[in-house]
Amino acid sequence: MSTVAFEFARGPARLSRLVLRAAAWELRKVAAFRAGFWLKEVFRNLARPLVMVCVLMSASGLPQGVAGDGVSLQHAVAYMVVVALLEKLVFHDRCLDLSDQIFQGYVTKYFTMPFPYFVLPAGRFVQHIVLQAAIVVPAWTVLSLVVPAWCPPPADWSSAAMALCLVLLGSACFLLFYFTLHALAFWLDVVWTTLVMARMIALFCGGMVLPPMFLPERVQAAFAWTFPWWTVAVPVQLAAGSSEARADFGRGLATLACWLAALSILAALVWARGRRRYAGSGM
Amino acid sequence: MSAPFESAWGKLARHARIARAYASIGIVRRAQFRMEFFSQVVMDLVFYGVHVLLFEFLYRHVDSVAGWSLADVRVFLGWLFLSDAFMMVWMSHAWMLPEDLKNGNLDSVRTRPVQPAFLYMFQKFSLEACVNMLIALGWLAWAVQAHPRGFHATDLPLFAWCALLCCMGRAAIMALFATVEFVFVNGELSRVLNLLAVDVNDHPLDVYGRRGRAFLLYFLPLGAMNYAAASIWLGKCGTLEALLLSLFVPALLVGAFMLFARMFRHYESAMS
Repeated sequence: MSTVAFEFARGPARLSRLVLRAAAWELRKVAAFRAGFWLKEVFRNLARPLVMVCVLMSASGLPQGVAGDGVSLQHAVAYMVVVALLEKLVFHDRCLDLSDQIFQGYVTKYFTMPFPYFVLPAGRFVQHIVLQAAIVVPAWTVLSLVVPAWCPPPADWSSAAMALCLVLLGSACFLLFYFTLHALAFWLDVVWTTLVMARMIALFCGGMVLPPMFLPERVQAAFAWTFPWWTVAVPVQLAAGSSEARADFGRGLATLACWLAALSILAALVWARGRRRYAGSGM
Repeated sequence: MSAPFESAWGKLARHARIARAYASIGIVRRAQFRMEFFSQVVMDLVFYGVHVLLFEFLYRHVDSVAGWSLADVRVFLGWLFLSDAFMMVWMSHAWMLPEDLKNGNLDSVRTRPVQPAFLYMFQKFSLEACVNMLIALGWLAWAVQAHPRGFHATDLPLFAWCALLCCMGRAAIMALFATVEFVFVNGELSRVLNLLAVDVNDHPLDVYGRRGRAFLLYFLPLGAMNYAAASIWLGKCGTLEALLLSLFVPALLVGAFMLFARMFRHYESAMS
């Protein structure tokens, strides 16, 4: 990671070209497995929010219509539908296989290559964003034309841009977060349980399991200190034109920037220490 | 007359011996990864916690979900946790099928001293998941006791049968999804389908409407994993359907394991 900074200072254009090339190869790789491509890339992260929509639709006791920022059926359903779309842009821990490579002793070859290892995860990140954006944009356009009540289009261009900005920054935080957890395999050997645990907590904190309007205010205030909250929960409300979310944009940007910096340092530290510890022999 | 009985008993005993061997290997392996022991226990606690919090928060704003009260859902979650813990104790290796198939690691299963699906999927016994099984049983016992239906000593056989249905249903679904890997090598479809199943099945199937429920219970039978047991226990289905489910889930298990064995015949080392 620190090597990345050094390389970037030496030749940002070269490093960017490498990342793009890695992204192109990653795209070819995911497209090669056709059935897996459709299930993993196209339908990725769709099931859970849509199941929640079914739960909300079958619940009794929820007020109908839209009731400001309060709890209402239409509000909650529209929130979950947009979550289903925006969550696709969030980097997923399964996009990385670093822990397996460490466990099997395969990362040795990357240490001999004339570029920093982080180019490969960065390439996957770019590939993920490009591919998912190519799915999300048309899907959101069509849905907002067909069922505008349940899938409203972004309130205006500035709201959409602010939401996108937070989602991309947050997604980069997720990349660094999962990279760090994967790199813990240098010490722990097996980290899949840690990853699953982290993913479940992140989804809950990010308002991707239950709409924030159902959460008690104290819980919402606590989650607002975490990056998942600003990656999905707030951007969804921003896209819907919430004035409260708009006022919070600056705070969100600052929170995500702090997380991004902290996670960059942490990832660099864990990677550097882990490399020193790595013996090159798989289990 | 006694020969088929002895043969069946002999087969069962052989399966039990292999399961015991897997369990002892699992305990020895756990001694190697001590951190992983705690990590897995905590991971499942997080899984339980997220599900419990989801419904506890949701029910502050709604009266019922598809006719299920909060007390009903707590019992439903108990069966879900039990089914999940069973999978974690015995069947976690099924997640490795895509890699094992791609790398041609299934040669040892070819020896077939017992049913191939059992031999392959049950090989990774997890000691830490036994802790989670105890926690899941604890939650289920509390939810059942706290439910207006209550629990009486006479309910014990039904409780045991529902627990068995959960385990059979989970094994059947995992075997069924695993067979897809033999058709689409490299697709990791079994993993994706299992993750999808977790998402779809961790709420009562009634939320999908009558047709959706029927589809997910009998056609793509995800409901066999825990919904069937919860539904029978809470009396959400009639007596006739309870009987039907009691026959359907074991039949599904036998069918899925037979299908796995059949598909396994197409396996060649290093298929990719």
